[in-house]
Amino acid sequence: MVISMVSKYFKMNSNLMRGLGIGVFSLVVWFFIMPWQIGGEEEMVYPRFVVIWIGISGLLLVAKGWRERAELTSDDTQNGKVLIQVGIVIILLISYVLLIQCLGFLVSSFLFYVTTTLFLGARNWRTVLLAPGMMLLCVYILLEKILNCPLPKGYLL
Amino acid sequence: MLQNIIAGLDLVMQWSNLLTVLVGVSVGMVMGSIPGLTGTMAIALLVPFSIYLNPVAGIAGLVGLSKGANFGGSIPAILFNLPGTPQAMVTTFDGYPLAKQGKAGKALRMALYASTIGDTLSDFVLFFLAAPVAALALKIGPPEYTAIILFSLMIIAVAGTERVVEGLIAVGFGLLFAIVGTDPVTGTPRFTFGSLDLSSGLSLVPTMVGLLIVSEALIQIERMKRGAEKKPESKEKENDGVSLESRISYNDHRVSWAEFKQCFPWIMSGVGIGSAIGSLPGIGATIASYLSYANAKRRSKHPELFGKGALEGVAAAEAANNACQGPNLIPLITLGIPGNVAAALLLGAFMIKGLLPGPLFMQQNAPMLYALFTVLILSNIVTFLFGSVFIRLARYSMAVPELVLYPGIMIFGSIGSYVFRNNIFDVFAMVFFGVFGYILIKYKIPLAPVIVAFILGKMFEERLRQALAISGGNISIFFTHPISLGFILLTIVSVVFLMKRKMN
Repeated sequence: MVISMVSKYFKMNSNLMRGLGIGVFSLVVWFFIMPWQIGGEEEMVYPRFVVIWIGISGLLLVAKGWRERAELTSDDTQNGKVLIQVGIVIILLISYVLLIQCLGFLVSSFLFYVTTTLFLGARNWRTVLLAPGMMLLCVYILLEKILNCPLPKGYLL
Repeated sequence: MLQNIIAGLDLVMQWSNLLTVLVGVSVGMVMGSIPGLTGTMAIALLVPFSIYLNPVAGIAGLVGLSKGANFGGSIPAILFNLPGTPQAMVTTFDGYPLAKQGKAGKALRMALYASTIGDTLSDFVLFFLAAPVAALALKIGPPEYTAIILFSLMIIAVAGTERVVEGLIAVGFGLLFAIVGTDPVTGTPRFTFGSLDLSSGLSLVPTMVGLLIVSEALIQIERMKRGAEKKPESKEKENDGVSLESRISYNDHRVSWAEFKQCFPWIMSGVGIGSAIGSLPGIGATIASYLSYANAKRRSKHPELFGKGALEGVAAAEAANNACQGPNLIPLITLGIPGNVAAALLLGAFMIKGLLPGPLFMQQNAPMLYALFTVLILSNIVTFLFGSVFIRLARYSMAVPELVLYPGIMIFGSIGSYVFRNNIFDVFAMVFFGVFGYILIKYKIPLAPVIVAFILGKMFEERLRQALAISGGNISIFFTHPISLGFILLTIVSVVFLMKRKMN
């Protein structure tokens, strides 16, 4: 959505934008992240090879976009409202993972499942409550009791 | 030789051994179908129990486990776009689209046929070609490995994607993620950002789960939300025109004789490719399945169907994936060198039983060797029979409503990511890759090359640096070794040919 807005403003097609984005990413990794995260010339050789691979691929995308520059409109037709809803699911997922350490795997999984299915539009109590309960019970028995694979525990379960 | 074969059969044909094969295959199939629980883990968990069994029963159980898990990995790959084992990843390319078209049973059946045919024929390769193939495998060194992996990466980028440049970008990202961790030569940290969890590198399971399953779940949720905004009659179009009921209709779940005949050449070529790759230690079934898939796509009369639900794609990938199994044991049996982690665990099981694979194994324990061959064939038969029942049950999971399915899949993905290393950081990694994968899909960069390049990246770097260390930094080593030069030329020719074909 951001790329389509920017590309329409600057009258650039999406290949050109993506290629430039990849190019900028490669430069950031080369000049800032690699010197910060990798010490020693020998250790830098292979990462440099990979960043060059990505950078050249980005340039090829720019070249492809330049060749198609007559197509000024982006093919990116995004529905902002839908993207926000996907963003909410991502936030729910991140919250779920953060809560695992506090509440334990079983409780946080149950809460995540209920919240997400309600958000997606489920209203049947069997779907919302019974299904996750059964599923998590089977997971608990299979992993904890049969296979002896401990699940993360928190303050609750 | 005939006497040894009869002695081997005599060792195997006892009820206790047959029962352990059955148990091994069924447990392996269940564990292989659960992402995060690979066949290797299953073998590792059960090796200690094999102490209590006689040598043949112990080895039979572990072999059955490995074979069952290998097929089991294709089940979630087809049903949920989530490979249960890393080598089942290529099966998702066409298996999942087939499932979305209401042909899950068809895809599962073809995977079963291709797996068991591939595995059985490769066991005969092991039987007849162990000695000469082991001699050839000794000639493969770091320059050859580097060239083979480079060939695979370029084929993945060019042949496996609709858009070549995006494929190259995807491979680059996969190689970049594989760098995270410590330098394999000097041991210094790279891209760890001060995190102890990252110092051992990014784990394969959360990467795969995030990129394939979480991103797909987000895409499907987006599709559901878009569909909810449209008129009700257009909702069926959102599901590719297939209603939920027909996704499990009986008629879509058989493989006709015509379909099998159409896929048979790719199964056989998959056996050839898988056997060749499987006999080389450390290469792995993922490369074999990918090369087989790319070969089938290139030579098929309908290459445009690949990636959209071509049954041939499933057949080629599964045949090669499983055809690696028999030849993987060649370096183990003939040289005492395990070709992969599962073979290393089997070596451990052999040693527990007082058997030492190696050059003298064939002379000193011939009946045991033929017993092993018999167990391998028997395990394939049991895999076929048990698998036929298992897939009938597994495909009914497609009847689960999407509202329930995708949150459940994300939870299962979290479980799979966690149990692999018992580390909550891996679940965070899964979420990161899920969001990253979603962004890549939105900007039309394919995910499969990212994962394959990630799997091959560490091996590629290690072999490349070993080769350069041998040559003192001189890259001519790749051109002076005939096999390496051959693969480099093959890479160039294949890339040019495939790109010309795409442009035409």
